[in-house]
Amino acid sequence: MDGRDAAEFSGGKEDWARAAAEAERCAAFVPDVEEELVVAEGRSCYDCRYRRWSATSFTCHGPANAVAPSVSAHPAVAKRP
Amino acid sequence: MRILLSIDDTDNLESRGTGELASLIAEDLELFGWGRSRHVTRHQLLLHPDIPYTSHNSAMCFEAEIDEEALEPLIRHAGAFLQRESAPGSDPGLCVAVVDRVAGVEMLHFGERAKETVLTKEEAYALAARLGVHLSEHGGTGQGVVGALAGAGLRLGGNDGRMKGSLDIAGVMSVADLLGVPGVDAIQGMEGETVAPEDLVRVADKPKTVMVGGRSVLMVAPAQPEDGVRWQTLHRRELRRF
Repeated sequence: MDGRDAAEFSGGKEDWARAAAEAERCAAFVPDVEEELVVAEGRSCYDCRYRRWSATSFTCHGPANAVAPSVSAHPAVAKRP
Repeated sequence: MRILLSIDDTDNLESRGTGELASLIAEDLELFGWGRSRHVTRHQLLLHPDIPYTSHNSAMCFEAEIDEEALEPLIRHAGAFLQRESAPGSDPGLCVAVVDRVAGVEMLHFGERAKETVLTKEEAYALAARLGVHLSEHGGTGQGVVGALAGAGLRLGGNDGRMKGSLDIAGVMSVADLLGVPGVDAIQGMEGETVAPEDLVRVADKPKTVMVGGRSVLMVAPAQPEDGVRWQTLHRRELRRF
């Protein structure tokens, strides 16, 4: 997986509220292993094993058929140019 | 002899994490009577489109004190373990460095560069050969050798990484009591402040320690003065730079 075609979260790495809200309504959320958790309280896209970190944010690689439509279509997620 | 064992790129989106594999190797090391291991640390490497990491590009490393004759069996065991247990599609790498035999500055420099620039397998193998460090690949493209060597270098430097796992403590504790908790070598303020043994610390649930000065350090910050509590532990969010 290279992540180059996936949508990037426009909130960057420190939009804690939005990352939590997105994860709350995502059907594909799966917590990552302990050492990769950065929030570790409730749900957050930042803690999901399907997020792939980039230099400035992350891209979501959740199973396409399980990701809630609101995640990929939400304004917080922007397609890379 | 003191060694560092570092692994990288063993997982995929569905598998066990690289940290768990590092812990299992550390457990085996003790189970086979080869020596004693210490904290597994996680080291963040560069996030860049040209690096084929799974999701976070972190290497995992632990230190151990082993018998000299256990070195080769350990390397063979760890290599076979990675070959067998790494996830499909991963590119696992293994580094084992004997601390007293390596030029620490060069190892650390490689680790620091791996946080800032894209490095190649060829560079990693060339440095490992020059330093007499074991470096091997165990599946896929073997690209994980870069991160494995970098992880060992950063651990050798002693000022990078977060400990795998968290402390099973919470509530208000004195600095002296916290220093008695297994896994805590020292306590210090995030801005370099020193703490006194009698100072009280408000400990959040399952705090995490980081590697500073070669020790497992519980970082604290000034707390809102209440009931004599002077410090509070930091949230994971605030430890991301380690």
